[in-house]
Amino acid sequence: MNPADDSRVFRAELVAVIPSLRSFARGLCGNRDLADDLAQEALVKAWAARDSYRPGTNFKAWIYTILRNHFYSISRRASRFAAWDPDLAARTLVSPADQGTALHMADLERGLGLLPIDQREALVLITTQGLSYEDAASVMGCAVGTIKSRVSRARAALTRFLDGADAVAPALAAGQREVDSVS
Amino acid sequence: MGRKAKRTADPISQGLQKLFQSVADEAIPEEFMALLDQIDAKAAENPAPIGSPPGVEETE
Repeated sequence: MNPADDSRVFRAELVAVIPSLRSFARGLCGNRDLADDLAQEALVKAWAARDSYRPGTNFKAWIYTILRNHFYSISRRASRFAAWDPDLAARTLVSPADQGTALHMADLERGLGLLPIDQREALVLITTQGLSYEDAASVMGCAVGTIKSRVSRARAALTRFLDGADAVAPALAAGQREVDSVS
Repeated sequence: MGRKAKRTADPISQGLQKLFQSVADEAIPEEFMALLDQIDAKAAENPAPIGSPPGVEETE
C-alpha cells in the first residue's frame, strides 16, 4: 500500500473510532469538554505516532492507550482531571429517556463517579467499550487478572450503592480520594 | 485479539451500555472533523508509510 492509501486508511480508522473515543474519555474524566479535549489530543498524538501502529492489530485499544496516557500525564499536572465530579457527570453523560430501565440512570452515574478510578476505568472498558480482558489489560498496562478483579470489585461496589446503601458512598469516595492523591 | 469479555445481561451492564452508547451516538462535533482535515493537510505535505519506522523505506 502506498503512503497516500495508508493515510486514507488511517484517517478512516480515526473517524470511525471518534464516537467510542469520546465515550471512553467521558468515562475516564466525567466531563464533556475535557473529554473532547482528551479525544482530540489523542487523535493528534495517534497521527504523530501512526508509524507505531501495526495494521491488523486492535486500533481501538491502541488509541485508547494513547488517550489514557495523555489523561494521566495531564492529571499529574492538574488534579481536576483526576477527580470525577459525580454531579457534573450526571449532567455530562446523557441519560436515555427510557423510564422502563430497571436502574435509575442518575444513581448509576453517581455510583460510577464514586468508584476508584482504576475500577471505573476497567468497568468502562469491559462493559461499555467492547474490549476483551486482554485488550483492556493492554490499555491499562496491567495483568488480565487485575482487570477481572477491578471489574468484579467495581460491580460489587456499584451493586451495593444501587441497593440503596448510601453509607457505601463515603467509602467509595474515600477510595477515589486515595487514588486522586496518588495521581 | 484475545477473548471477548463475557457479556452479561445484568442491570448494571445494561445501564452502563445505555449511558455510554448515548455519548457515542452524539453527532461528532465539527472541531473533530476540522482537526482531521488539518491532519490530512499535513499528510499531503509529508506522506509516510504506516508501520514503518520513520526514514525507513518499505521493502515489500
